Amino acid sequence: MSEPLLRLVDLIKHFPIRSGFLMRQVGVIRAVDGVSFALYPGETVGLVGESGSGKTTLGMTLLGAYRPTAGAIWFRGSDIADPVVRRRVPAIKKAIQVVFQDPGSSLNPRRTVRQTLEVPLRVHGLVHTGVQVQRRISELLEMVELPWEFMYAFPGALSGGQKQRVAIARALATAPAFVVLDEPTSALDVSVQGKIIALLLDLQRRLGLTYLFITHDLSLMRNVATRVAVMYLGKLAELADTAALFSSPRHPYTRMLLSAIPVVSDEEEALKPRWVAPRGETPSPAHVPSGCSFHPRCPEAFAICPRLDPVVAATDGGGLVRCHLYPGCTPAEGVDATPTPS
Amino acid sequence: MAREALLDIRDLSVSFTGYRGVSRVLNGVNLTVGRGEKVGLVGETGCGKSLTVRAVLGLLRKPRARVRGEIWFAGRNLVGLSAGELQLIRGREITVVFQDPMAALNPVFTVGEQLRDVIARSPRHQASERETWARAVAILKEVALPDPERILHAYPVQLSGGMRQRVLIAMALVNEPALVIADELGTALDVTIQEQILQVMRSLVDAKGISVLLITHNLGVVRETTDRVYVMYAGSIAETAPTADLFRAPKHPYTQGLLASVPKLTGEGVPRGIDGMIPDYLSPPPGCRFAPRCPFVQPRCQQPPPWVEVGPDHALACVLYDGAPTGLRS
Repeated sequence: MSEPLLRLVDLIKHFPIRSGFLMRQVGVIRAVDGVSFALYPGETVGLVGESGSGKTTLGMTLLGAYRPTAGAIWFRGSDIADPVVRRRVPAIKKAIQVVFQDPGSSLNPRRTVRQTLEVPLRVHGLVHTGVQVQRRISELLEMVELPWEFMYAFPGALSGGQKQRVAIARALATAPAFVVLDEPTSALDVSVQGKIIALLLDLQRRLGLTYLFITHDLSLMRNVATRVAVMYLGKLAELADTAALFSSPRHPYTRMLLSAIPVVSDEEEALKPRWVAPRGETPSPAHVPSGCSFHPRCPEAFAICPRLDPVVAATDGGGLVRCHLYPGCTPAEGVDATPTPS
Repeated sequence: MAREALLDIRDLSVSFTGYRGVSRVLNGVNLTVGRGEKVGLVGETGCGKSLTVRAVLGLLRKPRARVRGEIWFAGRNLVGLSAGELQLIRGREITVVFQDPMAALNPVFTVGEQLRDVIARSPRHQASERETWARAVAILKEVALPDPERILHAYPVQLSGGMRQRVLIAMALVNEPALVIADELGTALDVTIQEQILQVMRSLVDAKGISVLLITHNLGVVRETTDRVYVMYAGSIAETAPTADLFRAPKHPYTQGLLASVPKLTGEGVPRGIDGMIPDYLSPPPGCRFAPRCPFVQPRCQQPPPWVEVGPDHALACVLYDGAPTGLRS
C-alpha cells in the first residue's frame, strides 16, 4: 500500500471527572485509550461500535476539537495532535473537514445556504470578492447536486436529504483531503440514505477524498467501507478489510455485533454469525473492567482475560485484532502491557 | 382475519385545517390487530404512522383536527368517546411504549414513584402501598432488570438507555393491557441492546397474550418481531401481508422500493433508494399518492387505487394487480 494519509499512534483521550467544591479530580473517563491505525488515501474506514465506545471522541480528536491526552496523529509530515502545530499550519485545518449526523441542528436556521457556505470560504481566505463567492457557492451546490437557487433558501425550507447535501457542500468548501463523516445518514429515511451515500462515494472518486465513516450501521458499512475498525470502550477490538470482517469476524465482540443486526432477508440471515446473547450492557468508560475490558460480556472469556489486557496484533489477513484467543495478543506475563504502536 | 380483531380501524381519515388550507393526512386507513397478535406498521417519516397512533389514543383534538371513520377497540368505537371515557382506556387497556425513554420518564421523580402512579391506575388493583411495591418489583424482574429495589429508588438519569427502555416496557405491561403500542421500540439503542429489548418484549407479550402494534421505520426490527405487517405511504395503507410473505415477496412498488433501499449484508453496494419525496398533504396527487414516485406509473393511477387481495391475508392498493395478467403479479 502507499504512504498513509493519516496515522494514529497510541492515541489517548481521557476526560477527567471532577467533583466537589474544589473540583478535585475523582476519576477519569477513558474515552479513547490507546488507538493506533493508519488511513490510506482514497479509502473509507468504517468506525463502528456502540454508544460510549469512543468512536465520536476519536473523530473529534482527529478534527482538533479535543486535545489528545497522549499519542500522535501524523498527517502530511506533522504531528497534528499538538494544537500549536495545527495552528501554525493553516493548510491542515482546510484539509480536514466534518459532516455531522443531524443537519437539522448542524446548520444555522437563521442563515441562508449562501451565508452558511460563505463562512469557511471567508475564514480561510479562499474568496475575496462577491463574484467569487457567488461562483464558488454555485460550484459547491452543483457538486452536491442541488440547483444554485438553493443558496437563497433557509434550512427550514429544505428536506432532510437536501440539508445534508448542504452540510456536505460546507465540508467540501475548503477542498479537503480527509473528511470525518459522523453518522451522516442515520437521521435520514432509508429511501433517501442511498442517494446521499452514492453522492459521497462519487465525490470521493472525483476528488480523491479519504473518509473516516463513524456509524453504528454495520449493514451500511458492509457496502461502503474499504476497511472496518470495531471499537469497544475506547480501544480497537478489531480492524480488517470489509469482506474479511463480515465473512470471518475474529473478535468475539465483532461476532456479537454482527449477530445482532436486524436484517430483511433470509440470505442475509444466513450470513450472520450464530446469535450470541450479549451479557449485560456496555460498562461506563469511567469504570473500565480489569484485564480485557470486554471479558464480563465475552462468551469465550477464559482465565487470563480478567487479569491481563491483550495487545493489538497483526492477523494473517492484514488486519489487527486485540483478543487473547489469537497469537501475539497476550503480552508476556509480568511485563507491563503497553500497546505497541505500529 | 381468522382471529377476532381486538383493534379494528375502519376507513380512518384525519385532516387538519391551517391557514394555508386543509391537509388531508390520513386517507382511509384500514387496519386490524387480532388478540395476541403482533402487528407492524412501517413507513417513512411523515407517512402518518404516529398520527394513526394518536387517533387511536384519542389525542387529536377538535377543531384543528377532523377525525372521520371508526376505531373499534374491544367492541367499542373510540371515535366520539368523551375525554373521560378515553381516560379509562388509556394506560389501562391500551398502553404505549414511547421511543425516547428520557423524554417519556419524568426526570424529577424516581422510577418507583412513576411506576406506582401507573399501578394506581389499574382498574383491578386497589392495592396497599406494600402490594404496589411488590408488584413494581415483580414487573421489573420480568423485564430482566437486575436489582429492582435499587432501580425503583433511582432517578431516570441514573439509568442507562437500555435500562430506561426496560422501565418503560415495565410501565406499559404492569397493568396487563389488551394492546401495547410500541413506537420505534429500541431503535434509539445499540443493536446488541436493541436485540435484548426486543426479546424481552416478545417473550412477555407472548406469555401474557397481549397484542402489539409496533410502529417503526426499521424493516429489520419488523421482520424479527411481528406476525403481520402494514406498509403505510402518505396516509394510506399500501400493502398488508403476513410478515414472512411480505419480506419474501413484496408486491406493491413502494414496498419493493423500500425493501430494496435497505443496505444488505450480502454487500451488493448501496441501493439508490426511491426517487422523489412524500407529497405535500395540502395538495396530494389525485388517485394513487405514490404515483409521482412510482416506476410503473400508468394513466389509471390518476384514479384512486383499488384494494386487491393477492393471497391469504395479503392485500394491496395498486392497479398493477387489478385483474392484470398473472405475469405482472410476481
